[in-house]
Amino acid sequence: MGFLEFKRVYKVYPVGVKALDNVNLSLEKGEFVFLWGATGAGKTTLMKLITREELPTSGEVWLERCKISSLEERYLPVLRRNLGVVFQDLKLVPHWTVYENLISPLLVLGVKRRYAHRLAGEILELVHLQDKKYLKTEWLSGGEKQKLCLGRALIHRPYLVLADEPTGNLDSATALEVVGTLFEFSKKSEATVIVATHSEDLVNRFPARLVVLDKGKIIQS
Amino acid sequence: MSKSKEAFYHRGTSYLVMGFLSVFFTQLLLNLFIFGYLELEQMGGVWQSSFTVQAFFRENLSPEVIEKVKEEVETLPLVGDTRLISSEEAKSRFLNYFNLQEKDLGLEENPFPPSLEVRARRVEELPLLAQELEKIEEFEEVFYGGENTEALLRFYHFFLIAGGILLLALFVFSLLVVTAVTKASIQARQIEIEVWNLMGATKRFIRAPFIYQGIMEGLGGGAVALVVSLVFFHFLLDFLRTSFPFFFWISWEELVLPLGVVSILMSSFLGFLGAILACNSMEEESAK
Repeated sequence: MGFLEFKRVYKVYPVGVKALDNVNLSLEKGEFVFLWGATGAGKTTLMKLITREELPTSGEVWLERCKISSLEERYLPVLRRNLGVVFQDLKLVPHWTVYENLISPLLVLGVKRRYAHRLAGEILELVHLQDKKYLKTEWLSGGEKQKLCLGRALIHRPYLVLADEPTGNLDSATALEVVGTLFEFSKKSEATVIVATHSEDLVNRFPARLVVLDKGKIIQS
Repeated sequence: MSKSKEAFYHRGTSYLVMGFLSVFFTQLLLNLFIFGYLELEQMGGVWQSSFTVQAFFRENLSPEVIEKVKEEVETLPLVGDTRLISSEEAKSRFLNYFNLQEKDLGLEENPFPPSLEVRARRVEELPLLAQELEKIEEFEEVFYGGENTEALLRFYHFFLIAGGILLLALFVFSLLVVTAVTKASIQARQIEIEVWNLMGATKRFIRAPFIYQGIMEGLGGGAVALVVSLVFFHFLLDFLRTSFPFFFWISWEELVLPLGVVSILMSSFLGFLGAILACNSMEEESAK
């Protein structure tokens, strides 16, 4: 069994929209994967099944031999603490400072303040936001917010990183920088990284596995 | 960031003020009630010396039996102290009261039976004590009374019942306000809660700041109410002592401890309970 596995997964939303249609996918530990597809192909739904924001209509999702599709509600925090997620809508708290948003996963993990401070310094450097540390997040530009979200997803060294359209609103240079950071992280920490994107240009620039989704079906894996 | 700090870090001050004020006013009224209760206790304690139960012995009881009954009565838990009134003393009291001479009575035998004058430990327990004494066979008749006693007891019971109801109503009202304020506070922080949830925070972690907030609001409101109450009672008692010097007013120092303990414990409990109820309610709503 792979590190992350989807077995005959279907997802139909209550309004009748079929988001995923018999998805079978197996990913290995340390893989860097592009999940490519047009808008509405089911990329975000696939990600949400991993974070357990959504449940499959049928089928199974396994992560490290744990059937997360039927994980009890009380174990969700354990699952989520081990994930790093760059959300499509960022999910940053606008009135918190950059630093506060950044260290939020560490607070959840109960990391000591001094260590959290050190990790935050490293990540701020990585995403080039050192000079914005105490700025309120709402004052950042779109690209800076995206970088902050990326930093927050990596700060606790997760073994699985999910990035849902992390380059959506970025210029090509910043987009390359963001994905490059994720790629580097995957290589250094042997974490599995899944990047959902609809950008063909990005996919072609990195030597990574490509999974293509179309109307909820995997057409290339 | 510690949890207690987190509780206030990005909190709207208006929510804090509302929660604080609701606890403050409840506690202020509670303190007034406690003052009234303690004052009544104080007065009752002084007045009870003039309220006694009179238990008249049956005829022809030997002095030994009477003494034995007196000892038996003294062992009853409700009894404060007892005094034996002999037939002679009863007659003498009667004569003194009506300013008469013995010859004015014109009686060959002393018609006054010996009696036992019994004081209750607490004035409100007089009726219970009288009931206990009626069970003793050696007593012919037992009575307590006088308008003062009845009036005091009626007032005392009324005060307790009315005060209790008022207090309960206040507590419920304040609890509702604290709950509503905490709920509003939770709603205002939905984005943060969502982020915490997605980061893998446990329910306990997410609830903690709100519980701290509730306790802090309660403690703050209670502490300020305590200070305001103590200052108010200080001046009130000064005024009352000057204006009504013949009453038995409680001393200000005697108020500090009961008010302090009740203010701190009650208000923090109120804040805690309100926050817990709000968290439960919000979790139920979000689960639907």
